[in-house]
Amino acid sequence: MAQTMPDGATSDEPTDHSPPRPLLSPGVTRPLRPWLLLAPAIVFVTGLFLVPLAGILRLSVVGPDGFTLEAYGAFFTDPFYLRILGRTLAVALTVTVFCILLGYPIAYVAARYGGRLGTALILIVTMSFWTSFLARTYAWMVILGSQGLLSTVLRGLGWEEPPQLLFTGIAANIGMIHILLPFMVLSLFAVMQRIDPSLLKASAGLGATPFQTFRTVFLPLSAPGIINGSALVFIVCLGFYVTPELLGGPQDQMIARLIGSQIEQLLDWREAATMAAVLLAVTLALFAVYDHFFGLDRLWRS
Amino acid sequence: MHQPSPDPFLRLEGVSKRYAGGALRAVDDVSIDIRRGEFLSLLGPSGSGKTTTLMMIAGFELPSDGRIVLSGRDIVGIPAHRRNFGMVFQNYALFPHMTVFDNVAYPLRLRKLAPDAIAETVGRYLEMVGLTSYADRRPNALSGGQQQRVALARALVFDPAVVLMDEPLGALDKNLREQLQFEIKALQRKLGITLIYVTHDQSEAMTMSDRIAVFNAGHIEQIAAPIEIYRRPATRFVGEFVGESNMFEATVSDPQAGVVSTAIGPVRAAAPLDCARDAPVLAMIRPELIRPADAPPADNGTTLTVASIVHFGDRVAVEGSTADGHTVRLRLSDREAAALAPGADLAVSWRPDDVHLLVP
Repeated sequence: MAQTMPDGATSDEPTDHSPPRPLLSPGVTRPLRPWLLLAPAIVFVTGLFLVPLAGILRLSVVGPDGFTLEAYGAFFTDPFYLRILGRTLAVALTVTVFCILLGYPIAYVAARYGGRLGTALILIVTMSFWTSFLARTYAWMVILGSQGLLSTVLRGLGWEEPPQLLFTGIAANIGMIHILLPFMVLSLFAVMQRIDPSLLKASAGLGATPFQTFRTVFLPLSAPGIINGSALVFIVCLGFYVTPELLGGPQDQMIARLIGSQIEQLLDWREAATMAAVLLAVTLALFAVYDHFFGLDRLWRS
Repeated sequence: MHQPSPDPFLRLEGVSKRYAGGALRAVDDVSIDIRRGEFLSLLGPSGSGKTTTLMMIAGFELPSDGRIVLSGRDIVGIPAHRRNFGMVFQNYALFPHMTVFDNVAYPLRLRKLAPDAIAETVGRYLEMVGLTSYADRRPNALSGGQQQRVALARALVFDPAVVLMDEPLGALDKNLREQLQFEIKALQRKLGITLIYVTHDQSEAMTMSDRIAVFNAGHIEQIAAPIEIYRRPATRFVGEFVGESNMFEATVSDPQAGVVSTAIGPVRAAAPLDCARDAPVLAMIRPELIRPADAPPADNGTTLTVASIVHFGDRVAVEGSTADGHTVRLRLSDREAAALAPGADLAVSWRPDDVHLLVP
């Protein structure tokens, strides 16, 4: 009876001596499954990201008389635009450096000493993710305003004319550093946590002072975290709009703000699309650099 | 061959380590004298305090009590990086971002040796561990055994006062482990290294050590040469932890004649006993010293019913039970065990020399 059953039907006895069939027939079902799992994401990304992105790119090269690179020419020959692009890169770099300087010690303490202190530190860092960053930006306005907390404290300490902080580049940088710091701390923490503590013991045992151990063992092994975190912070910072807009002054415009004013005030969609494309190109170039270092990270993983 | 000198080179005096406000004693009043050039194993089950003791010697843990004295100087307050001790870890702890050469050169660079002296010394030590052609590799391109050889070279290259090893072969398979045991022992002899070796593997401790300190529950049960530990364990724990044993509770029946009475009958030791009649003792006989006999003698022998026979290839483990249900373990050769079957009667005997009596 078993022999007469159609292929694929359940049977207690195998009809030949080949190994029993797996429940999921490998030829058909398995290669399909990852695609099935990815399908919603693919539809989402294609419909809501890739298609509009192509639209923007198209917008940047289509003039009244068809294809033109006029807008790109205008961008790269206008010293004002280039200065803003340069400033955007410089601000992103500044914010990244400060995130490293502030984030490294936090991640170091959390990863090295662990326990309750480490958990508390990481909890505090992630907690800032739970607050809207708009709310956090407004909070900085309250703190840094001319009648704000900081100025009041400074006046209380006897500084009669405390400097203007709000609506300056400093305020914008402080706000962006505050918002991006968790990305840096978590990137660093993830890598530092993987560093085998016995390597540090081995180094000490071989005669290295704590500082030598840090410099020759811990720091190089945490470098992938610095690179990951920096790439993340730098790239997010390039496109930052709300925080510099609310905390910074008109002289601290970054490229995202410039794109906004191209559309809102000048209705120059082509120039705005061009700037967006340039920003995207810079970001992609940075990802290429990141990819290079990511390979290094792989190399170090034992 | 290097002769250990009798003066203590490294001395632990009443060293203790307490955790959780003193409630937990990881190490309890441990004292050891270690001679220069000696291979000392700290042997014990996990949690017995042997690794904590090693970490205190290395300077990674601070003793709660006691002194650690190196060549007459208390080193408790000296941080690990100034002790000049070589250390080998179970997980190798090689720096993954450095080549094999740079790993071995690391302690020499810290000591600011000239580059050509470093190259020469590192080359010599890499040759010693047979890894000359691997100098430019990264540790993760090496097998476990090769990685541990690099760690070994790195721990020896700066001529440390003492070398500490924390279960260095625990992650390796059996054949490789035995080969590296041999290599470590040969290097230790050749270089005259003072080596403290933590292991839970009693055969490893037996084959490599000049002396073994057997740890149990934070204290040392016995420190002695391996064969002494095996033949004359000081406590029941040592007798049962090191090797297989038959341990019988006994009372002294004739101190002069060295006879005690046990559940398997009277057992006679070779020498008179230094204890009172009816004193409780333990009689230990190693399984390989119990031999098949034609008929059970009046003392030092009994008749067993064979309960189980397990072949190990080179030997056969036989378990028998006495008439009143006490288990006796034997080690026989394949030929001796050939005629045996479960349920058969087996008369056995042992020599008075092979009886070890200990006070429980």
